[in-house]
Amino acid sequence: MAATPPRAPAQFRESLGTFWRVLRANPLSFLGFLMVAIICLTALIILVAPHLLVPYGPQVNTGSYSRGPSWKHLFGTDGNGFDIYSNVMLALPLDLGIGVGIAGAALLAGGGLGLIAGFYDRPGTFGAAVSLTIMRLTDIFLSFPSLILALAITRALGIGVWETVFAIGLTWWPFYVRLVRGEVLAIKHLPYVTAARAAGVRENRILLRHVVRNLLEPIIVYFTLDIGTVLVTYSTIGFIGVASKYPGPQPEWGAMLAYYQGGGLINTYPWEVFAPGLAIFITVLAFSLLGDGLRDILDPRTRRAFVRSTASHDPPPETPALPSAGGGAAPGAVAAPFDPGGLG
Amino acid sequence: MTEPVLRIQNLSISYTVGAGTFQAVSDVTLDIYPGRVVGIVGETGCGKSTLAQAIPRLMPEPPGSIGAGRIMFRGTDLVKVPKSKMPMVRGTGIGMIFQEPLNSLNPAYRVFDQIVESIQIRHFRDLGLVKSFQGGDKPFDYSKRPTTSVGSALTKGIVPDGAAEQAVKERIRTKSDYRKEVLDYLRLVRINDPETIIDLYPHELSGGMRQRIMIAMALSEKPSLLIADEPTSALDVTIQAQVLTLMKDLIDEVDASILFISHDLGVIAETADEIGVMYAGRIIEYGPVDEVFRSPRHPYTKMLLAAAPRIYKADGSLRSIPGNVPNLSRPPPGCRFHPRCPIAKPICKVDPPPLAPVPPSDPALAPDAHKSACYFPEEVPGLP
Repeated sequence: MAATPPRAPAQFRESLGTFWRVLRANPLSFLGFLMVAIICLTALIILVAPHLLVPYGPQVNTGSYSRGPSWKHLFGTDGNGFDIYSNVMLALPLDLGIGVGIAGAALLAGGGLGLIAGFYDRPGTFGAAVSLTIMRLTDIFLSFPSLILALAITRALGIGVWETVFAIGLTWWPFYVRLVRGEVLAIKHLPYVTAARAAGVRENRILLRHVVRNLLEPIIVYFTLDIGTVLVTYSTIGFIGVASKYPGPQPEWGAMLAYYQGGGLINTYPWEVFAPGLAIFITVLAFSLLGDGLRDILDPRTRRAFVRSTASHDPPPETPALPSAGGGAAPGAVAAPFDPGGLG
Repeated sequence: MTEPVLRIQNLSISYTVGAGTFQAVSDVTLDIYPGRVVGIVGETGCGKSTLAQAIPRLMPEPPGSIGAGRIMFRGTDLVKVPKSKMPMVRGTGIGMIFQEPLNSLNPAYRVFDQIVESIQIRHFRDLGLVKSFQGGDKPFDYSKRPTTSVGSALTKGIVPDGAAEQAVKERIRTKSDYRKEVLDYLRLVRINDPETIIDLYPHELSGGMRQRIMIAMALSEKPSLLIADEPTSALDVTIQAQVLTLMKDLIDEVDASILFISHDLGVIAETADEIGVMYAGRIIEYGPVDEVFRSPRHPYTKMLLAAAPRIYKADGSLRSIPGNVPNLSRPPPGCRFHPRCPIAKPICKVDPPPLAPVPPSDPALAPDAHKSACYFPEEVPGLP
């Protein structure tokens, strides 16, 4: 209903500045942002122009077999003469897409259902019935171990990337339902929601403006961490060998791990298994660090704290009356002059 | 006689918790006239907050439910209004200030965004872009408010009728317009340095500041009735005094009737024109503040006044009313105060006394200005 007033470019610049200050104050989350940015950029380059970063195709025999890492073959070669670095890099867009895609779809589907289930559950209404249905369905899915369920669905559908993605997606959304619903239940009884209601704000707008904004922070943090979890789960299914075939036209880290550690290869040629393992590790770590950083930026309290701690050369406007909740009387409030401003 | 803004008639509210039913408010009748400040005072659990929340229908239903009675707001019975239509009444019709200033502001938004939301609600309703509630024999008439600008007045002669008004309706205010208005409201609630405060988050403000912001938000919608539910109770004494002073100043400036809920007799004495004393869900005494405080005609009021702590008392003792507030799932029969009443007679245990007029001590008052729900009001002055 209410269009927010158009944001001035100055304010946009200010938020960008805040973003930068928080990053600067927190080197680890800065590293996370940097890593995620590089990973995404690399994936994009590999999709668009693979020859820039990937010297060999997925199944190209380089003529050197089972050699250790060298400048020519960064992660060595395997028994087929395949360049492991090329295969690891070619797997990046797929694995990254799977992680972000499944977690994102689960966030949208599960989060949406969680909002409905949490907010519109006043007893005796139609919403309560919907809410009940959503939650029981969620319980049914949650009562199975998700990995086993995803494995079973994959087996039923047949081996393949899309089958596995579908199977994991199907088992992933209930976690978001439960998480979002829990947050909504906690937030919707807070006094500021009642205050908004008393001010005449409509229910749907309360949900979108007051409730969603305040659960964004835990949910986005969970989401970024979850991208790593999805990746590991997919790799696990790939490791068991039901997701992707390796060697094949489209390499995948989990399948590579499985292939290179099998048959005692890990003892003789440890670098082969090292490369895909490292790739998974770095990607998961990057998103974990990103999650921590996002939490700091999304929460106004920590954001302001970071801005202050780093704003030595460009100080924020003087804030004279800022005692915290327990900080006693406010000087600004005490000295408030009598100034009848008149209404509007 | 002017019509009351709010007329509550025989209102009863109960909560169903588990197997028990708590009669939180029983048979309350109350009129609030334009520009008047009515204070409701009572102990914790006497139903005063339930009453406050029930008027804009903010009480959770269930477990709460309105058993009987009417809440006539400007001629419309709010009890009969569907819940989905209530947002049209809230804010611009009935505004509310809450007890918890610490949590009543959304932590994710700056002061500016919080107040703008309220201003926009009023603004869009004024323009007719958003429906406000119409109903009853005296509908909420927002069309009388001036919505034309200088520009539309100039163009009115040239462009066909209606087009100018359409142009006004579609005129979107810029952010700086809103900023100016928010600053006005911050100044209205006596906030020092509003230019800085406007860009702060709630966690950066003190309790008193937050309560001022809350008051500014409520006032920015220009409600015709403002309900203040213990607005000063969560603040410490010095801040309490400031907010109270502010409220007193605003009462004269703002064109709204106010229902002021508090457990603090001093707060009510400072702010209200009329006072209703609640006990166990009933209003047991009602009248002009001076009259009720000077010559209480209900034993509970008398004892409550005697129990109010003073800075200095000659004998140094703190008086209290013996006994406890009755359990509202099984209220005592007859007068609900009789188990604690020193002048209780057999009839008090059988029939609940009606809220009946008592002769006022001040002959200038109307004969029915002072009411008491006691069978023996003439015995009350003799109590210690």
